[in-house]
Amino acid sequence: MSKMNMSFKKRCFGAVALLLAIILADCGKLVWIQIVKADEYRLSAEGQQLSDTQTPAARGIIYDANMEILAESADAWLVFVNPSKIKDDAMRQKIASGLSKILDDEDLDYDTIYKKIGNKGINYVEIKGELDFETKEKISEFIDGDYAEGKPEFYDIVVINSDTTRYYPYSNFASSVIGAIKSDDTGRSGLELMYDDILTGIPGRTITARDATGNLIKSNYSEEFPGVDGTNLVLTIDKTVQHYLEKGLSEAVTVNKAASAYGIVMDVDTGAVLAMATMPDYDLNNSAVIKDKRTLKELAKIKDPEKYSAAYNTAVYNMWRNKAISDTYEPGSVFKIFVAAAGLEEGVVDANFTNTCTGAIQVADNLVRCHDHAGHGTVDMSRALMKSCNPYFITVGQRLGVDKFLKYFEAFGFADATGVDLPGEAKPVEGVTYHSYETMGLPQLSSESFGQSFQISAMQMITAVSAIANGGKLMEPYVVSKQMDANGNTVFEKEVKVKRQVISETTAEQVLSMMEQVVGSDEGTGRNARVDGYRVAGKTGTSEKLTKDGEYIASFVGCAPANDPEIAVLIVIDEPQVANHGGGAIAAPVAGAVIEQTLRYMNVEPIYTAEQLQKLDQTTPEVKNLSVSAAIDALESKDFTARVVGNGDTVVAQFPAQGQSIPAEGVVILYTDTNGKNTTAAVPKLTGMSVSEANKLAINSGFNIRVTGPSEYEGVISYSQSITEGTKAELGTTITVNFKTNTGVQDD
Amino acid sequence: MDNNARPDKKINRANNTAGVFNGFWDGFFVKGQLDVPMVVITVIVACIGLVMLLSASYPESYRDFGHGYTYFRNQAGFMILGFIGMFIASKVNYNKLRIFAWPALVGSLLLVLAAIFLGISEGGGGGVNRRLGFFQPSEITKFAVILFCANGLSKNHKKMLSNKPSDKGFANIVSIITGGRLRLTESTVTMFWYALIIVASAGVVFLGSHLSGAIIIMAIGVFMLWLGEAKAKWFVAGAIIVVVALVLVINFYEYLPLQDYMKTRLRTFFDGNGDTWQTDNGLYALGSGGIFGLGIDGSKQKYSFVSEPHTDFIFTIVGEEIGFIGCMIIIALFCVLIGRGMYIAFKAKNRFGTLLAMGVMVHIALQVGINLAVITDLIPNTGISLPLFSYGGTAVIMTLCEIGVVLGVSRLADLPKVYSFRDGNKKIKKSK
Repeated sequence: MSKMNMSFKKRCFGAVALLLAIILADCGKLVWIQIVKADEYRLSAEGQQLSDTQTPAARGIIYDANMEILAESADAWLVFVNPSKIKDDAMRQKIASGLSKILDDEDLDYDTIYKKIGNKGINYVEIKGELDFETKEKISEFIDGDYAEGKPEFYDIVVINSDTTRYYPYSNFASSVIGAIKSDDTGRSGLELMYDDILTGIPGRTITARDATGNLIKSNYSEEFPGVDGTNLVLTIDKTVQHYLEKGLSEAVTVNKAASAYGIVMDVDTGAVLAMATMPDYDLNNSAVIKDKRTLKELAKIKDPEKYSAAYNTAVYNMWRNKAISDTYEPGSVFKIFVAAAGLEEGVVDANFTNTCTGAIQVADNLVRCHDHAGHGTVDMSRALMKSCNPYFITVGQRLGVDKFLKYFEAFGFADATGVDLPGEAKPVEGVTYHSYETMGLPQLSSESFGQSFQISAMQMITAVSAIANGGKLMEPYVVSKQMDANGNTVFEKEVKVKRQVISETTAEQVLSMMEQVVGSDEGTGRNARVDGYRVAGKTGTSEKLTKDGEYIASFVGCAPANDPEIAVLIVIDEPQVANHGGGAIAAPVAGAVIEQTLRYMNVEPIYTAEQLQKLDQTTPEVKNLSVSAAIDALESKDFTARVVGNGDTVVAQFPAQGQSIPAEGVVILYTDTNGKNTTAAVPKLTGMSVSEANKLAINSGFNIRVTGPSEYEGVISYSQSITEGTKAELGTTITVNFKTNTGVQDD
Repeated sequence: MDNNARPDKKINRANNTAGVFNGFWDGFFVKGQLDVPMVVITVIVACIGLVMLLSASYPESYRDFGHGYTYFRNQAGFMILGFIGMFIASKVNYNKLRIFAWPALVGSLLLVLAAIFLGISEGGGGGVNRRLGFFQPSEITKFAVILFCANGLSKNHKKMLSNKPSDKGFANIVSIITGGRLRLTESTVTMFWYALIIVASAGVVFLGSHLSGAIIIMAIGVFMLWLGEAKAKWFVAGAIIVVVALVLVINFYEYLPLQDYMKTRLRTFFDGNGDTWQTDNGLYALGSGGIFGLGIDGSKQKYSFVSEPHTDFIFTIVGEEIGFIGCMIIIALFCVLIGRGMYIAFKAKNRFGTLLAMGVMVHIALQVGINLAVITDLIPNTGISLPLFSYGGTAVIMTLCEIGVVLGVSRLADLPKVYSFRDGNKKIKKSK
């Protein structure tokens, strides 16, 4: 402009200055956003852009000692909905009704799903996981719906993704050891929890960029990290042994109306846990469901719904508890074997040391009674153990003194957790679960000497007993023997660990042979654990619960064969509701049965006495096609009993068939016409009888019995039978009947 | 500035043509050399803008049309039309435009009104602009206001400065009402006249639900009055009114007769509790870019995270892809463009040319400044596009044509000419 005067210039500069100020302010804010706060914004941006898709890694398999699968993961599917893509309410309703019908789950009814998929601001709502193939196929069909515009109706709206599910083929089997998993596939208890890290594996990840509606951005921004499947565990638990133990414990709970029963079978030379169980147990496949009738009955009494759900939760947690390691109990008389071992090892007494039991002993100001109020008279150590004499072991304990007593208490591992590879092991606390140097006076020393006034766990007990059985070595117990990667390569193998030599081999053998007397002697309190063909050493224990008046804990610990023990078995029965609640009366027979079956399974050669040999099973002869009389002769010549069904002259069929092993003097059913085959009869009540009574009744009823438990002395009566009375069973079937004695097995 | 107009140019024939139809076409086109640096910088900015639009609009286009180049193709077409328009506009003797001052303003406002009743709706974030097909008449209004003000304020420059009492009817009425105590000066009456026209234009555009257009028109008007040397006291008074109005708006906007989407945006900005999606995602995009950016087409925020990534919020995607450094370069290029335009304005032959060119540059500068202020969350979301970057046919064509007008001013201005296109040998010529 030709005549640009000063005032116009100023106006121009003013305008420019203002415009420049605006732009500079913008630049300043850009510095703030793109440099100062850049990371913060970038993270927010990535948070919404990057989608991290996980491909679940297969959770490790849990095998038993013989590579039988106890827990495995299977492919499954999950269904999710992308609500941001639901077009309208009609579609939302259609999806909710479609999915609720297919899933057929009361927790996922129409309203629940309808509500779940209402938030249009999100693009992932998981509806349900762990779907089986069939359900997945149904959903897939639903997604296709009315094929529109060349794509499935609910394409990208209802989506199926891969998932895994945990499957326990034997349901309740070893439940407290294996443990359950939570819905998110992480371990909740047992081995599933203990080895969660390595079982889980590393899920595969795909990180991709997605747009605001969740679609993949068509860019090459995609990173894949392949997953690693979980490590497999091989347990020391043997499915067969575990089965024997569980059967025994389960029966013990029923027969004794006990609150619970738990037990452990251990390989004494290695510390490997061959079996461990808590009864009642639970179904690993439905781990949050209580099925135990007694618990349910208790719960049903609670009317208040809030209190009920609280009680239910408590009951569920209690159900998951592995009592064999988490519960502590007063070992009672079983502990006397360690006092004996300590006394012998320290030389404060020898096996010939005698003490006269008058039925009570004065300890400081108190008179401590022996369970036999009449007194055991003068007894040596072997007899004292056999009769479970309290004054004797109080004397031995006092001779040891606090220092030496506690030295062995600690040496046998009662002052430490065993370190078994399971979660939730009870930890001993000095001065709380047992008396410390400071708190142990003469009364405490005396009561601890016969197993009272302190608490231990079953796992501590069985490792300590194993130390006596294996020549004095305290082992570190373990459940997982091997870890293998998904390709079957062993990545870890448990090395047997000797913690310490607690007592000398000689002392161990001495104590063991005395323990054998507890079972083997006709006066021993452990007679009910006696097993034909095997030498069993053991000790009974009964203690009154400190926490509950009038409730008892009965236990029995045994090891066999006594000459060179391979296994130790501990049976603990909690709160039995029977008159004879002693360990010798109710725990010993269970242990005996477990020992017998386990040793047989382990192919330990039985050695029978002549008397026992006579009672052994015999092989049935072939009598088919013979005349009835010839058949009867043939059977009776072998001491079998014959029972004829039908009016024919010729035997057309026999049961048990030729070559079958049945108990001596057993019955063989002879059918004279084919129509009569497989005749059944009601099983008679065979409990509460002596061996001969039961045998007679069974044979008269057309059944054979197999006797388990002690049978060769007086006072032995049957307490349970394998086939419930009144059940129809084919004639000639063998029924196992368990026998025990209740006399002279009292130990407290 | 310089009184020796070049003797070889015979351009002053049409100096005073307003209202004179006879001889209107004489000298309608001029042959003077245009300012090559202005052309170069415009082409550079437009090209960068087009490339960034391709990148930013691709996903939107893909989503809306099934393939990614629709917006780019359209914008490229608009740019070609714009450059043609720019060249034609540059050839026009800008003085001839005076005759369009009234018709352009009235015509464009009629189009805006037509759009209100006949047009189709579009727009993001609830702001619904009315337009006729691709044609957004309010873009014309912006230039019409510039032209109108430049014309009037240059013609009435003396009155603007005059303290003499006005003899206009309006002034007389005021005088009678106040009993002769208030005698309005010529300056005041003229100022209010133009202010009235500006506010009325903005009001019509505002009625068309085009808040951003109204804001820009108001701002342009204020700058035009300022450059037209209206008395400074009015700006002081205006500033006070604006501050008071802002305080009122900030505190009582809920009770003001504003449309819902405007309230929502204000709510979002002042309380941060509305839908901050667009602003937040814009900030995420800028922050993700950091100093160096993610590279062209590296943006992830443009995948439906940032709303309107190809129009108002394109610069957030620019910031994400080319980073702070790239942003600074682009802002610097805009400054160069605006600066060169203002330089041309200063060198213009007459006050009309200066005001016209300044008006256009103020318009571009305001759009850039306010757009950046919005995306950096300095001010509430107003929906102002970024010249030569944001998608939009009318805006692109109009911006380029306006620059063409500035180039027209440059043809007649007393500028050192750098290149001679006419010689074809691109030799630097010095002009004296």
